[in-house]
Amino acid sequence: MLALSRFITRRPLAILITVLSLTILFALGARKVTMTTDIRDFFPRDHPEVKAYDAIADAFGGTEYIMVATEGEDVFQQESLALIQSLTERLAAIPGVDRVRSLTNVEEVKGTAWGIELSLLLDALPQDEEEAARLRRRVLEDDFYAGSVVSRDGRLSLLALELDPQENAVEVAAKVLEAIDEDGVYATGTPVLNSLLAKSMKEDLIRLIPLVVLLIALVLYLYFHNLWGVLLPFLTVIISTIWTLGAMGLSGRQMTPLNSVMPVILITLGNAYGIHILSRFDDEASRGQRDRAVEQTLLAVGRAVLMAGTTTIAGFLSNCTSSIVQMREFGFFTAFGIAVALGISLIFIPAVLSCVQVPSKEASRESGALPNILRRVARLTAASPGKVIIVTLLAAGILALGAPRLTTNSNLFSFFDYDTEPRMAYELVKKSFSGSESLELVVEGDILEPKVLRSIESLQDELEATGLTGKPISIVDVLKRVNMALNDGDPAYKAIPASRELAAQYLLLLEMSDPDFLTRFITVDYSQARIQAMVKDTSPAGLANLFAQVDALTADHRGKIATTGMVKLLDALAAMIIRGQITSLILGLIAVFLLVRWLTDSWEGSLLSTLLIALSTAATFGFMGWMGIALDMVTVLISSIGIGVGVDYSVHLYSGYQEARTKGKEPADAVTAAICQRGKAIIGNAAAVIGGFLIFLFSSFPPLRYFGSLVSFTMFFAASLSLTLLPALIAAGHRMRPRTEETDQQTNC
Amino acid sequence: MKRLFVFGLLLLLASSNAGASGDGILARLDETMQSSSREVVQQMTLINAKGQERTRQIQMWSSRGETDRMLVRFLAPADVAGTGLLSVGDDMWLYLPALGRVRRIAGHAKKGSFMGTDLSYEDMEELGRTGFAAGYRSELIRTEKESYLLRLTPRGQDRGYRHLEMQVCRERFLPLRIEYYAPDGSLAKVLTTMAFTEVQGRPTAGKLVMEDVVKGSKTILEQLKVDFEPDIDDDIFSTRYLERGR
Repeated sequence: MLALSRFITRRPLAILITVLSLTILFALGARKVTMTTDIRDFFPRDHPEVKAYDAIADAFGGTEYIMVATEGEDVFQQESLALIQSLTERLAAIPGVDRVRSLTNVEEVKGTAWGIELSLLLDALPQDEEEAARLRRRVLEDDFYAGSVVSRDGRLSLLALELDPQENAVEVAAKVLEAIDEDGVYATGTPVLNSLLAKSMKEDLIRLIPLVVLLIALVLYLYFHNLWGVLLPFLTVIISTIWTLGAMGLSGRQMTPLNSVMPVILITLGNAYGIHILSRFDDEASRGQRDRAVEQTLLAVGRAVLMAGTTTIAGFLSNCTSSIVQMREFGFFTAFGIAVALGISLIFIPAVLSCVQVPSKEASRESGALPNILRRVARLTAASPGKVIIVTLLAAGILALGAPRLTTNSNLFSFFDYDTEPRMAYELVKKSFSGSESLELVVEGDILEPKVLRSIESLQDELEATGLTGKPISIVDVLKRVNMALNDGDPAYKAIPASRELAAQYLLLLEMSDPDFLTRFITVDYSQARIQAMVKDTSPAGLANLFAQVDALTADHRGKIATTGMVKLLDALAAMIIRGQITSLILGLIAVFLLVRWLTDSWEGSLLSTLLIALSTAATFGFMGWMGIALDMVTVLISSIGIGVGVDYSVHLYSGYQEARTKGKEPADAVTAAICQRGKAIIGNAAAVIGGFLIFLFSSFPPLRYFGSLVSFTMFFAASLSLTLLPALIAAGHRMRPRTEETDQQTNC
Repeated sequence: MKRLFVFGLLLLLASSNAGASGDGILARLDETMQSSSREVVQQMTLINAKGQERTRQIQMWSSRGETDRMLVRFLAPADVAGTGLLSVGDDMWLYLPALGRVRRIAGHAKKGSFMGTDLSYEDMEELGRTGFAAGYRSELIRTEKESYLLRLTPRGQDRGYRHLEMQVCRERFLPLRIEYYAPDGSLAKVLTTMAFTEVQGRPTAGKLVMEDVVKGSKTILEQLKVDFEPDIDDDIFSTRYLERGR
């Protein structure tokens, strides 16, 4: 620290110029940053679930759908049908949309020219009421159409847009959203939500960042009462945010729902180091040693600031072990940003301070409410540490008991409030149709064998009987229809063809009519067939239940059956979130423990700090459990932030205690002194952090709102414990040890 | 004398032009390819955009007359062997051996794909029974060393193409390459022919490849047997024969 402070005070200008020019460089890089919300980007490329998902897209075409629903009085009225027809044509023309399946273009198996023909269910729009009524009866009585292209009450119609797996689904969705501007027409499905998410998240950020900037400025002003006190910490966070975004842009990384919170995190957390430096500088300068104040400041708090920063960095870096790609990138780049903020605070701010005549505050800080409260807290803690320990542990324990109730959620729909359009469209499709997300089962074998076909049929029946999906569709349904069509439409023949040859001959006829029709049901060599079913409940609990049942069903059937689909990816993601959380939590705690040990050179300090933050984290998870808040792609970040940042308060307090001890104070006095001296900075720091994260309450996304409140909760808890439980534990620890002489415990600050 | 020379020159020009007019070339091409009856055994390889292949063999008898008649029967793969289609004029019958009976089918869909290949029913007819001259006016664009380049414009509105560009072999009067342009003027399909042989003194292409440029799929037709003007028993074009399967 001494060498560093000498270096800074000698060449402040060089430092300023270097930092500013680097900032310009990174600012150029930051302009390259784009946004992705594609769920596949969350997985490593060679993840088995992604491979399985891509394999089915390869064999059968896309499994990703955009669902467009039209709502009206009666789908079968000419006007509604004309709308559906126009939408079908318009949407099919969008590049990246492979196929559109709607009431006006759904194929029907008919016996015609070259054998059987796949012709349109709707040849022409009905000309009068009677024709409309006939069509209505024909469609609603057929379970192939009712509940899939038309709702069973005939009020809604659904257009299923199958997307080209080669295209970026999110971009296609954006084009689809542009193409529909009629009232009563809604779009939903994962790509649509992804697209809206990308758009709304940008809007959200643009709204939140000025708010958080304003709030931090206010907190800083209240704390320092001067312009420099606001300006310098601010400059720190702005520089670090620019550098981080620049680093992302330069390395070709993208923003995601997960790391979209990063700028706010950097702005909120990054200013703390500056606060500590400036706060101490005020002290030193007001003691009349202005010229040596910079050096003195760094010597006094440089180590503590470094410690606070490195633990925060360690907390974020602990995410780098996650198997979720975005999580790793978030961890890495946020850690990078914090490191920049730390470096700027330790080098750039002192450099500015030695260049510019920064006015320092009057030494009238000892009055006011805060110091009084701190004094009382200090007195209470020193007098009866036992009580403090019991009360705080009890509070933490009760909260932590909620932890087993914790659930996970990887569903993108939860990003939208119930009263927003994407969510309403999703609920509408879920209610009136089977759902907007598909479950895909791929059966391997000699598919055309009646035995295999029967096995697929029974698997479908069993799947439908679980009540968790809509009617499953496969090649079996197609063959049954052809069988009926070629037996004069006799419903008795709506059955599996009696022989392999018959099935093969039916398929030959279908291929002769439309070579592409079968590709979504069966592979060219007839060795794999796909069963597709729309999933009704895509909540994490719903999916867990579904996959448990599907696994049981497929285990009963002979032959190899693979399960995939977007829902499977969501389910896998939930599992990865939990696993990642546990690993990063443990690693974070170990890293923090070692860092604090190294920096404070005290087992006691590092043990107590780690214990405290573990307690705060447990309390937060418990709180989530009690409140029914799920761990999702955003709230999953709280523990790494909680550990990395929350530990700072304990570290500050403990280093205050150490400082007092080296000045010769007895343990009990040192504890009191630490609370009084460091308390204000801890509270100021925590207030700024809490305030910053509470800004997320203004987000339009529920997970971000939860995230903000939860981090605030952790910070509040960690700061409170560091001012109460931590000193109480230190005091209690020293009381238990034999002492050489009694000292006055009622030392004042 | 001078006038005579000019006249002679004009005559020469006119005659060479007549010898190689677009319509004339097209007429010779049709003459080479058409026959009043024919028997073909053909292997069809269908390759989709993903490169997945499917192979089938068919045997086809056709006869032109007062009513056009055609019988198509599948020879391979084994599980569809015997499947047959009979068309007599506008009437059609289908036979699936596994179903065990002949089914009469109403209507006539000539717009669709021929047997699921990348050739339309009309593409197929033009290359065999009907020829091109009936449906297209032809214009000679260029004469090259080995081939003529023709531009074919439909005579009526009912053709699915805006125009065709056809490269015709000068020696054999067979199409070497045909580009089919969609109504919007974009290239839709490309046919190339190869493996030329002589059958019964008539030049013929042993292999045709049709590529659908838009879909990315491809069909390869290999002639395993061609018989021009065979003596076809009229009984062949009957439902009774259709039902005999193989």
